[in-house]
Parts: sequence; structure tokens; C-alpha cells
Amino acid sequence: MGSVDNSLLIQAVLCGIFAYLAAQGTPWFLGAQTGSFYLLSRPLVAGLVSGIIMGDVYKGITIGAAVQTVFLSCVAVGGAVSADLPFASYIGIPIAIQFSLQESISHTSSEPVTVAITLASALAVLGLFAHNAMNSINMLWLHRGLKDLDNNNIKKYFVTSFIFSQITTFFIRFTPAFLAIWLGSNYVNDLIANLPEKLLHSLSVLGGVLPALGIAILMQQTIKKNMLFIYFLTGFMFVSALHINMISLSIIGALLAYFHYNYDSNGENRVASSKNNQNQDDEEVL
Amino acid sequence: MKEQEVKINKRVLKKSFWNWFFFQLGCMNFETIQGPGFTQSMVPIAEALYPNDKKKQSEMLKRHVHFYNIEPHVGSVVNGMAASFEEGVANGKISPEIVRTTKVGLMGPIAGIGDAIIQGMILPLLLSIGISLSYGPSNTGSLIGPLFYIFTFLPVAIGLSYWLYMKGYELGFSSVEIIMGPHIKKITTSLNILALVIIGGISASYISVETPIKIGGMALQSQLDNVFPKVLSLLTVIFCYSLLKFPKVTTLKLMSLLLVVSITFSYLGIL
Repeated sequence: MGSVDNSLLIQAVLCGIFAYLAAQGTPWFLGAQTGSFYLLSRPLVAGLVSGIIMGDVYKGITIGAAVQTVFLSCVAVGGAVSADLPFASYIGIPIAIQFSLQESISHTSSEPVTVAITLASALAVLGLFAHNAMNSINMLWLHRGLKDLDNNNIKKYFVTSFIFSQITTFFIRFTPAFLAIWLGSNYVNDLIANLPEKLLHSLSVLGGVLPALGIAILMQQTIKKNMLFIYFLTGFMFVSALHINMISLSIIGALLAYFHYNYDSNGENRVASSKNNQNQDDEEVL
Repeated sequence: MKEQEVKINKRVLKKSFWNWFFFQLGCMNFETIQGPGFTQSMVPIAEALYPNDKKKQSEMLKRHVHFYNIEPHVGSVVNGMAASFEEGVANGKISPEIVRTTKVGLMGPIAGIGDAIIQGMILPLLLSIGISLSYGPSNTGSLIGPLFYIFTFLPVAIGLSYWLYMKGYELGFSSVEIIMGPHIKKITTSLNILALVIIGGISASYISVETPIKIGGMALQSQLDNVFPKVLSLLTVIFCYSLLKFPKVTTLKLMSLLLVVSITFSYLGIL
């Protein structure tokens, strides 16, 4: 039994560390946005990592891919984050893997996936609080750092802004993930077994609705003129009615973009083209 | 004798780029978002332009701690430009004020292009291909899925970002003309169109809103699918999109609303 507890402790520590590394703003793994927000926090990658930690890589990957479909449009546009993934990825997925490895509980193969999506949806909301807490605490470090610059101490500015702030972020991210895996995983199995069917169903409904939020944020950013909405509808219709795959769709999108670039003679370009027309007119007169 | 002009060499530029790459969102905060990250990327530049003068170095760095928010990969073009501007300031060619106003002016347009390219196109495309490769031939899971995503995204992100940084430095002022000119608006709109088509496709594949309601023994969902497939998913996006237009609706509020609505509707048997 001792060795089992030890391995759970190590797994909990590793999940905690990855929940920290995956947080937006953690620089140590390939950059504070590239490696953390765009790579480690994505459930597709987290499935691989958690699979290695929990001892079943392939289960991890299939569960991660299923969770990724819910959070495909996890975006951060203009500072507004649509969902915060580190907890969803490094608490939800590991617990689902552990649940699927429990032999004492009989379950179908799709059940761990439902568990993962359910937990991840709830944890993505909770994660937003951690994200906001980090952003608030870092304001303190920002002002401490400005003081260092006032004292012409550039080295200390670095330490304040990027070491001290990372220590507070570490506690915000590591602690919940570590405790959830270490203490929670035993309870979670019982909890999920006893959860009312209706609640599980409503959380899976939420999992289906949630991608709409990230997409809406992206649309707000990209639709500058209402007419552009038609391109969104086009993409939607191609997949919903004609069932084409993403690569084919991106080629159609590229074609439409090319058409717009080459043949749009009004709108934003009106000034330039009317100038051209005037030039041509002038030439004709001459 | 006239003092010799200071020039930033390639080694310093590379150092500045990697500083940006790693610390772009470090110390992210509500007040200045990426202000500290941008400042950190300017540290090697300051050290090269004002060697052995800590006071002037910090003076220059303090110009960069203001509110700054951009898509970091495409946004690295601004870091390159800022480096070339600061070189001009150090040589007394331009006033320090211009650096800041240019940065603030470029922030909006470049964040727009960057989000369309990275979050609207590259990420959803690579992720959805990664997802489909993850299940493997017999649904038992395949390493190719996540590895495909990691090893396509990283080179694209790092390569694009590095190239744009160096271009930004090279072009300096003329890149402002390119970015603010009439040409770029057309490019932005075209990129937005491509992104919107992909976002539309993503919505249709991954939002699933279905109703179990039956009217006179007929499933309402299949009736709806005959009229317009996945119309409920489409209405959900339009609902979220139109609510986000109100400035008072924050992401957290909308998310809580979705949570409440999905639980209530599923208990009522509507969803």
C-alpha cells in the first residue's frame, strides 16, 4: 500500500507542476504564451502528458482529444479569456484516466470520456478565478518593479517582475491541482458513481454549448462589418450541410479571401480606386 | 569630432527577441497586460544603446511599461520596430514620444490581424487535424495526433515570430506606412474572411446543441435538421455573439449564464 500512496503523491506533484507550467503567463516552458497557453494547456497535448504521468499514454490521448473538441475555440482576444484550461487539463484529464484504470468499478469505455468532459467544463470556469487572481496579484509586482526601475536597478526589476510574480502564480496553480489529485481522486470515483444521471446530462449539455463562447469572442474580433457575417454562415453551412473536412474548408476560405483581395473595388478601398479612376479619366482627357 | 552613431548588432536583436518570446506575458496583470513583457524584451536594446549608463537605460525602459496588449507572435514586429526607433532616439534622430505613440497606434490593427491568423486560423486548423489523428485506426489512441500538433505549431509560431521581429527592425519607419496604409486593410479583411470561414466550420463541427423534444411522436431535432442542419448550434453562437456586443456583458458573466441555462434547460427536458 505504501508504494501505491507514494506513486499517487508523485503523480499529484507532477500534475500540479504541469498545471502551473500550462498557465498563461508562465515563461519556463517555451514561452509565456507559446509553450504554456498554446501548447501545454491544450487538452490534446495535456492528454499525452497526463497519460505519461498516470501510466496509460493511449487512454490519455483519446480522453485528451475528446476534451479538446469542447475547447477547440479556447481563445484570449483582447485580454478576455473564454475559458481557463490548466485545471481542466491537469485535474480533469488525470482523474478521468485514473477513473478508467480502476478495475473495481465496472464502466463502459465512453464513461471516462464523459467524466473528463464534465470535470473539465466545470474546472474551466473555476480556472477563470485563478487567472483573475494572478492578474490582480501581479499588479503588486508591476508597481514593485517600477520602483526598481526608478532606482536604476534593472536586474532587480527582472527578479521582481518575473521571479517573484511566478512564485505567487505557482501557488495559485500548483496547490489546487496537487490537492485535487492527491486527496480528491479517491472521492471523485465515489462521487461520480453516485452523481444523479440528470446532473451528468446537464453538464454534458454544457460541454456542447461551451465552444460557442470562444467562437463568439473570435467573431466579435473578426467581424468588422456586418456583411462579413455571411462568410461565417458559409463556413458553417459547408460543414453542417455538405460535411466537408477542415482542410478542404480552409482551401475554400483561402479562395474567398483571394477573391476579396483581388476583386473588391468598393468599401475600404474606395479612396484608392477612385483615385485610380480619376487618373485614368485624366489620361483620357489628355 | 562628431560622436559615432550607436548601432544594434544582430546578437542583441536575437537576445531581445528571445526575451520577448519567453516573457511576453510574464507578470501579466490587469493594469498593463503585456507591459512588463515588452519592457523585458527592450532590456538588451537598452544595454546596447547606453552602455555603462544605468540611469539612461532605466529611463528608456520606463517608456515601455505602459498598457500593451497584442497577439504576441504577430506582434513581435512591433518589438523589432521599437528597437529600431530606440536606436534613432539614442542617436538623437527622433523624439522619445514617437516610440510610444507608434506602439499604441499599432497595437489595435496588429492585434486584430494576429488574432485572426493565430487563433482564428492556425490553431483551430492544426488542433482539429490533431484531434482526428488522435484516435488511430482502431480508436485505441495514437501518438501522431498530439505530436502532429506540437511539431507543426511550434515551428510555425517561432518562425513567423522571429521573421516578423527582424523585418520590423529592418524596415523601421517604413513598416508603419505598410501597416497603416490602405493596402493592409484589404489584407486584414481578406484574412478575416478566411478566418471566419474556418470559424464557421469549427462551429458546425464542435458545438452540439440538440433537443430531445418530441411533437406528436416526431422528433423535433430531425425536423429541424431537415430545414437547416444544426440550426440550434448556429442560434447558440448568434445568441452569444449578440450578447457580447453589450459592453456590460463580460466573458465570466456570459459563461455563468450558459452554465445556468444549460442546467435549467436540461432539467426541463428542452435540451
